[in-house]
Amino acid sequence: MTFNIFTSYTYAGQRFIFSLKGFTNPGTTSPAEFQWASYALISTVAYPIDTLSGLTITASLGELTVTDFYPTDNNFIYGRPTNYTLEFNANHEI
Amino acid sequence: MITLPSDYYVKENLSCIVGTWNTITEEPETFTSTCVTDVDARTITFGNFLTSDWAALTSLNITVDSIVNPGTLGTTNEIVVSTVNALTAGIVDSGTYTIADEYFKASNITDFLVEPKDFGVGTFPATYNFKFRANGEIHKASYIILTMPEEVEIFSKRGLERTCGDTIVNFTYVNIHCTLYGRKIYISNGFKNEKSDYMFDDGDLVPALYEFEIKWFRNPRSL
Repeated sequence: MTFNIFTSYTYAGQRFIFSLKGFTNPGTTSPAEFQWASYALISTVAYPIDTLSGLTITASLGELTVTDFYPTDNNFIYGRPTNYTLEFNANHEI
Repeated sequence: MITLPSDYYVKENLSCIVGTWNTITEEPETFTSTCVTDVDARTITFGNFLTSDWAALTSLNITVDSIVNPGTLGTTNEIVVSTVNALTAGIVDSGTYTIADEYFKASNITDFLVEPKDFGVGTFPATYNFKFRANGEIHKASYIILTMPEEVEIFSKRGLERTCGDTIVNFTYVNIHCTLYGRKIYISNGFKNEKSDYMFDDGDLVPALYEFEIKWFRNPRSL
């Protein structure tokens, strides 16, 4: 993704915060590594200035809601019911 | 994948799904899913479960036949349900559930045999042999209460308590100890220091058949 966000020179050490939308979180909690690079656009040529790597973001587990879990025909301790019923849904498409 | 807490047992099974149900459409769902249980880890894993995407917030109802009820009358520990990415084997979603206090009821001892060693009418002192099988494991520090019917007289309270010291067959060599209150015999020591084993037989749960003797009864005086 490329963004044209600076209209002029900035001071050294100045801190910027900006938000991007349109992402979908990954389907895994493995750390995802991001890379960042800045360029100076002079005329129509982009000249590389800074690169930054090592930025990782780890997604949390998705939320799954268990709405019911029960033995169908035997609720004695150590009982051996014919079957158990499990009902659940997830906050997002599985 | 379902992960059950330690108070549950899972039976060995390679095909444990009984049915699935879409709670929105009120129609059965057909999946070409496999189902594998891990007895030690107490997990039930459904393989190849979804062949297409499952919509968000749409409940799915699954019935499985490989779970044995927990051995607690109180609130269960957390039951964990997770979805797993088939390619990475990583957990994607996770949710928990607990079954409320007093949902489970005390079970009945259905396998119980009492037999005098001498069947003569009115015989005394008579020795009785007791056999029983609990539905599951017996917890440490448990004790047994026998309530004798009026027809069987306790010939000597002192004699019964003094001679009561049999070991429990199929358990440990700890001698039992009896205390008599009316027609109830409280049997302690047997499980005082150790819980019973919970036995598996070809993947099914078969608790041991316990056996012990108590002396100084008088047989019923009528046939």
